[in-house]
Amino acid sequence: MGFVLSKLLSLFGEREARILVLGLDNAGKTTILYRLQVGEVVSTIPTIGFNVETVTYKNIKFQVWDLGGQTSIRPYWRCYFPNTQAVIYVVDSTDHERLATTKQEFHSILEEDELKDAVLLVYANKQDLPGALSETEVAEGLGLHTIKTRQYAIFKTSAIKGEGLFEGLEWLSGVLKTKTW
Amino acid sequence: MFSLIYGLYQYLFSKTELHVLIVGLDGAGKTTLLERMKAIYTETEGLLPHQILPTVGLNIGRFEAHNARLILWDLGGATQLRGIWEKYYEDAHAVIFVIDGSDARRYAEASEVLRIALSNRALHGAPVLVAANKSDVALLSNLKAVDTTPAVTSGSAQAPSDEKATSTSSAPSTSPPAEASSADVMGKLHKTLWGSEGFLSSWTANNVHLHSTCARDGTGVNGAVTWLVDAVRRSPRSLRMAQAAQQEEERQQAARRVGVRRNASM
Repeated sequence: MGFVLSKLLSLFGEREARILVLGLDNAGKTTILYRLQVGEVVSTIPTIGFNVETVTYKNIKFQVWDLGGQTSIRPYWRCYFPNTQAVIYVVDSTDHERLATTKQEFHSILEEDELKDAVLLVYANKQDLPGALSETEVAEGLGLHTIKTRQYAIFKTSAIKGEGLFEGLEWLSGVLKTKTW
Repeated sequence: MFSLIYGLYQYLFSKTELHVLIVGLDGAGKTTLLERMKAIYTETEGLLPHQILPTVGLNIGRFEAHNARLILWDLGGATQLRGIWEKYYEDAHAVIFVIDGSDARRYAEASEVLRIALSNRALHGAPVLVAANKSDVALLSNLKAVDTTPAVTSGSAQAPSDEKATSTSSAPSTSPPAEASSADVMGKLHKTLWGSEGFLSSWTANNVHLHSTCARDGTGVNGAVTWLVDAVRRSPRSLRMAQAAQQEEERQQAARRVGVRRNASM
């Protein structure tokens, strides 16, 4: 019933999209979520479970799910995969040591059947900190170039300063508007 | 022998999707061209030019044109993103290199970037369509800069970048008639690429073709795709790639058959 209603609603005016925010622990996922939603930097604690908020941007209602990133709870990400239109993958650009780990997690997400049509948006976050890798270096580190069958974009972001986040959403809304699902 | 080649040919154009890489300098109109192709060859409308943002990753187009199934990879053209291009070279059947035809000050830069790309062994033999894009703007823009600044951008040429309106009105006396402009753009680009100093004058590794396009209104786009599909069909590289794909498939089938037999005997 709710599904029918939301389909009907999407015919008139606003479209809805279900977005997952994923990434290792301490990448900045929750800070990004609330920066997008309330426009402020809120103090966060490590997420155990998830936060979900609605962000309306360019006539699209993004239902944004921010899932906890710690090793022990990453296996539960997949419970949230069905009906997802886009994945925002957040990388801590200053965490050089765990680049290989985040690459591995990223590629296991890519292989998920339920996410095979999801659009990919990568945030190379924490650009305000010294020693942050550039978006090209993060792209290289993640092995983005091995993606050949779906659309992706990578943005330099600073959740603290609020930079790059809405540019990413702008891109996402453009892509989702032309996609039929 | 004939049947073998014919079989491969059939294989190439029935099963395989042809991969076309779209590259070029930032702002050349790569994504606009991709969206225009989507609009021409599919039911969808495609993004309108004003909805298109600079690409910071990969855009994908998938459609059928002239009896071939095409996948287009459109990559960002900004300097810091060009490093990603080469990761796609090996799997590309052909390349579309887009040049902003209305910006003569960047012809030399575009030529150099193209030369670097084609020097990569992974692109050896791939047909290259050079799209002299924005032919509508090029028609209107003042081509004085074309004649006076052959290679490197000089300080004085920096100023009149605000395309049509300003440049045509600022120097109406020197701007050539509109019909001549289009040919001039193609002529100048041809000279940059194939002239005495152009690297393509002695280039044998790729089949390169210059084509005037306007992604904004679609002029020349179908012609460009027609050339491209035809060139891919005739290209030995495509045959090599199809052969490799077929061998790979046979290997996988054989592996599967062995697996089945083993299961049956157990």
